[in-house]
Amino acid sequence: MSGWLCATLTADGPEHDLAAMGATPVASSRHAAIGALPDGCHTGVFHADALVAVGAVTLFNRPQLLDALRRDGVILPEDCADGAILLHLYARRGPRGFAAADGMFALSILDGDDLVLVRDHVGTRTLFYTRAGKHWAASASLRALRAWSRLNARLNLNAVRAFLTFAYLPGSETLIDGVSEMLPGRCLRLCANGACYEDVFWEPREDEWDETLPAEAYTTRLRDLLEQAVAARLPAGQPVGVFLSGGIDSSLVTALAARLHDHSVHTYAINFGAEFPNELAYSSLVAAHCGTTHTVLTFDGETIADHLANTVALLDCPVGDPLTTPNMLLARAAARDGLSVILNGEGGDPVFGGPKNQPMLAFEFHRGDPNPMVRASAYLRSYQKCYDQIDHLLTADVLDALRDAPPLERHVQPYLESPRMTSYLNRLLYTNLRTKGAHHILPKVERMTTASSIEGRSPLFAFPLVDAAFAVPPALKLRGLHEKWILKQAVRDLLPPTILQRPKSGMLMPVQYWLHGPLRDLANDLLLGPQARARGLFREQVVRDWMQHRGLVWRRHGQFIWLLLTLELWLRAFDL
Amino acid sequence: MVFSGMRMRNDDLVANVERSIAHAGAGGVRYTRRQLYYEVCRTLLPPSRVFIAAGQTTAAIGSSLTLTLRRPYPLWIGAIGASLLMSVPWLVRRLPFTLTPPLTEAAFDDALAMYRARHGDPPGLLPDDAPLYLALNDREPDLYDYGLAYALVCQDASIARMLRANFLHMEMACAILSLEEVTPLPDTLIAMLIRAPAPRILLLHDASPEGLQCAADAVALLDLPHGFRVRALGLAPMHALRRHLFAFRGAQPAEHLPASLNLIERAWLRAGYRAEVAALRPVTLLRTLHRVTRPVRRRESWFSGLRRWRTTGYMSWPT
Repeated sequence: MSGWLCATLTADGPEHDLAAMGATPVASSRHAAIGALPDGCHTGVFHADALVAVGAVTLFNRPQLLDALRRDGVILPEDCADGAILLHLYARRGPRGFAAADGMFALSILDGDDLVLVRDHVGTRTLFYTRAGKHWAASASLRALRAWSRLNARLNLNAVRAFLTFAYLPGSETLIDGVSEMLPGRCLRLCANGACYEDVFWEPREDEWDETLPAEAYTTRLRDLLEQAVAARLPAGQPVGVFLSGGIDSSLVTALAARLHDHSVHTYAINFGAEFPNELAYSSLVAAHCGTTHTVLTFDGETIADHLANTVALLDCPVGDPLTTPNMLLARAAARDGLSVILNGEGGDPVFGGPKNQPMLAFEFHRGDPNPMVRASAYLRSYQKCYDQIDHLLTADVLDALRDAPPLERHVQPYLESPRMTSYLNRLLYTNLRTKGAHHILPKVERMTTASSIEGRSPLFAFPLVDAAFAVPPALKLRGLHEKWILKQAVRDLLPPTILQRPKSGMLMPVQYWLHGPLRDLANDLLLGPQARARGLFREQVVRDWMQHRGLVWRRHGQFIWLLLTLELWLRAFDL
Repeated sequence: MVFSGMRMRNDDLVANVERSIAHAGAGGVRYTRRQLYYEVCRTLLPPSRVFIAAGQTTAAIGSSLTLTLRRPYPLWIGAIGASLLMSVPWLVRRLPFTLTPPLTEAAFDDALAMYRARHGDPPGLLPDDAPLYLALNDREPDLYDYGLAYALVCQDASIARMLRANFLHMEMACAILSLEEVTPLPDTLIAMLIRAPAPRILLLHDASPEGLQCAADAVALLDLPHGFRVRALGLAPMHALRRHLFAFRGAQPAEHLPASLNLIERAWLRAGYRAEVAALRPVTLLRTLHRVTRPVRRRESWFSGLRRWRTTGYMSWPT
């Protein structure tokens, strides 16, 4: 697991608490201690002046950061650890020092008697923290916090409801009551007296654009940044892998990697059997066009069923995306081929305007009620998960316990109504970036790749690229009905026209079909078995109806059952 | 209470309304008063029609079985019998006919009033006076900079409201408006549609002379800009006949009918019949519209394989 750092802040024996969580202490002060958990990779211990930190840090703009430190009078050796650079930036500039660091990082710093936690700009790596009595604890692993003896771990029903609505947990809430996930782009100072101070070192913001500028001015800038983002993420002197679905995002990353890398580029595509629709024609076309070493992997229902429980157990917060298991298996195949870094095209939709915005445009066209909650509700509904079915699905006891719970809309409303953005489309992208990007896409990539001891990198989530995208006129991102138009323009010389002009389809998994075959017994045993019944979360009849394809207007029974299945497996893995 | 020659106790009628509400609102669907009326009609459907259809089917199946099993008929007789066995239920299902509502609207209103007095407002029933689309939306100035692929225009305003209340506009990513809301077509909608490569108006109308006329005159009626296309989704008389919808008789027989109608449809309309979109089950209406407006990816099959061979030239007819 990446970033298996652990930190505690207790009045008495912080090292003892750390050891009880399974960590080896690496530094401590009177009240605080930090340590590393076993079996971790990418984790390091870093020193700067009187500061000590533990965490997982990968930087993509080392030369610029070393120059900046040199200007501050700090001369570091060229081969110093990424974490040391980050820690020196903090030592010199405070939390604002993190703003310039383009990378993937989750770090815990022992700063006197305080603990400082840092999560990178877009949320590539994760950190969790909690307070029990007068004690703080933080970790990159929720499982380690679950093992903390001071924490009375109970299921958070609010988070159950959020998971059923989003298929992931969209904010700081986790499924363990009282444990929070850090929001991205933040630096959190935990003090022994119980105080907690948050610094925001980066947040997407809309830059004013010049309507008179031709589109070419924006495409040139974006192309430069795309090349920089991909080049910085290529491993020096090693081959690189790319998850290639055949869509525009992974295809452009493949094309840039093939052009910029001085070693071989391996591409991986997946399908679920010849009888199901797939994107192999597109991915093979891109692979042939870019001259990569292409591997097609076929995962059938039995394979997915066999690996589902293990995949879910790897996640700190459950993700109801059926592609999670194929992602894990794909990363494992890449690791077997000897790769240490694999790129992906994640981020294209939230940063440049993917197809998920169309329903919200239709909603806004018809909107009659100015209440912001109405828009937030529509956004939750646009996820097409269980939002409208929650009252029907949850048992009376659970609904009773949730009677005074804060509304789900709070997870998206601050972004949808944010004064930082003047454009409606940009607010939709901002919402997507800060919810799905930071709490679903990136953590999923990180956990699935790190499980195979490789590093998954997402160039389209690079924060300078995000900044540039928010400085592009929104009508160039969604031009009429053309999604990501400006992105396609920026790479039109790199890819075949078929790829540039094809409509977005997404990777479709035959979940519904498998639930009648290889996943049927698993779903029956898990969702209708004694353990699930004893937990009492869901009405049994509703689950039975869904399993028999009844009770829903839009036939999403397979997706809904998949959500329940994922949640049940996760709860068992975390013993909740 | 009396309707169509049947007498029912008030308690039974309210129980039927209750069952109809459960059917209409299954899965959380929201529905109009008119849709509930038809749902109650379906619940009260006289068993005679079912008996007639079942009798026809049984007779046909029985005779074909006799033919198949009795010797010394040659094999081809058995084959005919077997095909009848398979085709008769299919034919019975597809016989084109519509049904007369077993309940008058006034009787339904009384029944609904009784239900309300006992149980309150039916869950999922939409108010008749829901607001129309607000033509001015100045909250998001960049909204009209983007495109919409098409707009669905409904002849019946209550159907447009029902589709919106069920968020079909978000499912289909389109605008859904009633005819009265789009005559003339709002500038804001034109601004969004014009950004689509092939702007389309989909028209949902009743199976009636007025509905068909509305489909025929849509371009002029909506004053559509050049390049906009209109596609009538129905309800065509044949849809009503094949789905055995409830239809009213007594409308003024139409004199001018579109040339595209077949003989059966013409005869049905000339007899003064008309069927409303509201007569479809609410969930069927939603799913059908969703299906017809989205490309469906089919699973590969033996038959689609044959079609693919044909398109690639394998064993195709010479041209």
